[in-house]
Amino acid sequence: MTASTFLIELRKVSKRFGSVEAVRELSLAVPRGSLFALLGASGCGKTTVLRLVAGLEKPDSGEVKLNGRTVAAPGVWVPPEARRVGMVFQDYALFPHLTVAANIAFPLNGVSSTDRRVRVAELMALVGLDGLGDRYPHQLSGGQQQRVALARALAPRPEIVLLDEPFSNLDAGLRQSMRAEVRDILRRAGATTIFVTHDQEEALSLADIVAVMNAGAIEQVGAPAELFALPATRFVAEFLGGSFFLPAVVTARGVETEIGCAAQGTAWPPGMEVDMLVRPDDLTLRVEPGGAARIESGVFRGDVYIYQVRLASGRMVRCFGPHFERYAPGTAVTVELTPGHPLACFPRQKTESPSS
Amino acid sequence: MPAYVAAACWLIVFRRGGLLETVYRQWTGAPLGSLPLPDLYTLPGAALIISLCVFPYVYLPAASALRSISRSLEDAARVAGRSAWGTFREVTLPLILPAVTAGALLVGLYVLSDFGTVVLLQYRTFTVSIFRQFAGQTDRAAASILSLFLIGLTLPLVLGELRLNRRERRLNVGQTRRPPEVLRLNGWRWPALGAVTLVAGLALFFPFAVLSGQTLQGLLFPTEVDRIWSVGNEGVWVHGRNSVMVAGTAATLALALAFAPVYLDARFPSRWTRLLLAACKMPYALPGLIAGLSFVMFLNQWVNFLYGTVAALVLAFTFRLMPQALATNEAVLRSVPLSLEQAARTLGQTGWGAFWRVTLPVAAPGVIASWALAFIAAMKELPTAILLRPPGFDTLPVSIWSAADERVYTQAAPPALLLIMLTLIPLAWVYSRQTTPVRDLPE
Repeated sequence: MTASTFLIELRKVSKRFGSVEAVRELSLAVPRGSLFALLGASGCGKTTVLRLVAGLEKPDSGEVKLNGRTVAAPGVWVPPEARRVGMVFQDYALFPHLTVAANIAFPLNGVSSTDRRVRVAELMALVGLDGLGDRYPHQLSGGQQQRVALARALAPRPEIVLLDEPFSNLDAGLRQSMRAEVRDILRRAGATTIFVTHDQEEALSLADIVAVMNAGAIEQVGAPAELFALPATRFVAEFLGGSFFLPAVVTARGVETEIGCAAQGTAWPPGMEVDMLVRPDDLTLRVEPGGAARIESGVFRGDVYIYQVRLASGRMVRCFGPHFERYAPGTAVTVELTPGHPLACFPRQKTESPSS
Repeated sequence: MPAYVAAACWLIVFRRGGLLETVYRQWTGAPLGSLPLPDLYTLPGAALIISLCVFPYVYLPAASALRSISRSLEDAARVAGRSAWGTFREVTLPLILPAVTAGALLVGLYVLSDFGTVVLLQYRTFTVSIFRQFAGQTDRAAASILSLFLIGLTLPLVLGELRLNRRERRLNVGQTRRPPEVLRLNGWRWPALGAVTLVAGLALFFPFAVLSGQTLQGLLFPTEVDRIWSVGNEGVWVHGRNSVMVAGTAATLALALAFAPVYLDARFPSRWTRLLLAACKMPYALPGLIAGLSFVMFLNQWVNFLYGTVAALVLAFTFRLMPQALATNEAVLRSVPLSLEQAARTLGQTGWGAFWRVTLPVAAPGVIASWALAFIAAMKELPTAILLRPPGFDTLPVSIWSAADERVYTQAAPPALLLIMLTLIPLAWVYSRQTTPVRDLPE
């Protein structure tokens, strides 16, 4: 049963390199047909997870199952060439001595030459590289190289595709357009995909399911919106999106902070002291001569101004202001908590409590 | 280790009436010629000895090419369905092939221009014929014609090497690094280790042991010592001093002369600087013997007063070292980013100030390393020294060669040992500083 719903399964997999424990008893299940993101800071072990799935690393313990078949477990080892996965490497790993067409045809071993030509032509059309088959990798732009790498990974029609930081080598503008395009191509190919990234925006915008990794373990798995709105741990909360914490107390009508009250997304009992996770978009900033808060500084982001505001308690918060008007430092303002949705709260951390 | 020294070592041990046979006969009392010995005066003999000396020309580029292959390429091949062997065959091998081929071409060039080894092994090659023609004074025209033929033979090798080098550079696309996978050899471990040890032993430890043994023997049996020291009373130490002096001066001169064209090309590149650089690199294609011969003829014809002086010898060495000095200087200067100099300019330095206070200090370790390499090359240079040394002014290679040529091998050993020691010190220094940008140059 699980074999049909989860295409990729890891059970309590560990992997250490010397004294570094890269992956710690990690379990993971990727549903068939999904686009699954492993999100984490560099060095958190996310690439190692990918390489464990591909068979480029052998787990020290635990079990890896692909499509219901055990490929790594104590006493069981299926080498990478027999796993039928496609992989796009961070540096694309295009063979510099082969043309684009030969690179794409590389995994098509044992396929008749006519079939191979047809498949290569098909893939070149799919990734939009028509007519570049005779070029060499170094004659291509970064975006083109990435398309070749993707086409090569998809060539043998793998059920599983792994992408290692696929967009990190592209410049910002190209990254945006390639994301949408790659997502489209993967959907059309019908592959189940794991991709690894350190860019939360990339993970949230691209994936169906996001797993946030920290120090070799998964902190939280869920749909992007769910993760963003209700992070399960402080780590996830801090990792996702310019957030900060406000000290608050749980009461009967909600959670009280110095700038207002909001519903909690958690279920802490009344009277408990908590830290509430707040993002700039949860706050409303108004210029008011009698306001207790003061603008400290402002940064223009294009669509909004982002202000550092000092509250009456001395605590700093970040707020958005309209892009057509700039408030000078020292301007008296009021800040109000207006989230419009329940906010995540975490038990108060002593080091985080206000000094006053 | 110069090939002619290795050849002398092999002859010491394996020739008829050599060390091995003498020992064998002392132990068994067998008559002369009863022990089957490999015949070194043949093509296989010469080929084996030279191969053992020149394998670094292939080994070093192949090793650095292997190191430069991004691991992800091999990983990609595995994921694409290739076994470990298939990956090696279809990805690794094609990627290091240009470097290996370039190394092989260098070997070809070396062998074509080699002189000392083939003379000792009495194997008649172009260089030997040219030398005999010239030394016998029989026919200078014949020597010149033979030389032209030899240059004709070396030219395709040089051009091929240049082309491969250019292609290799193109293949090196920037890639992220990941430490290579270490394979477990299991049962193959000992055979593999044995093969490596055998090559290293034959190429390095064997000649070294032979030379040390011979020198010791010379020291322990006074008759031999007398003969060594009786050569004008001064012997190896004087030859050693001569060698160091000439090689040091020539290396310094070559490096200084090579700096200007390289600097011009690195900082103000134009068609002319490239042409200048190419012209300066030309002597690279010339076998040492021919370069020496042309120098002799040139001096005889036009600047006779220099002929037979130490100055002429130093000049000829400098000329020989130019291509190498250019290549290493180029590598060093390219490693100093232009932006450093520009930063110095924006901080108020003049062009000269920036050069003196920034470029030169940054490049200094590399410059010293290239000086050491040039010095080593000059120390080993044989044909130029044979042709141009003033009477009575022997260098170490010359005294090794003349002793070995006369088959008085016991006399060849001490200068050979000294030569190896003197070149080993700067070499060890260069290799101990892995940060130097100088490209691995084979000994």
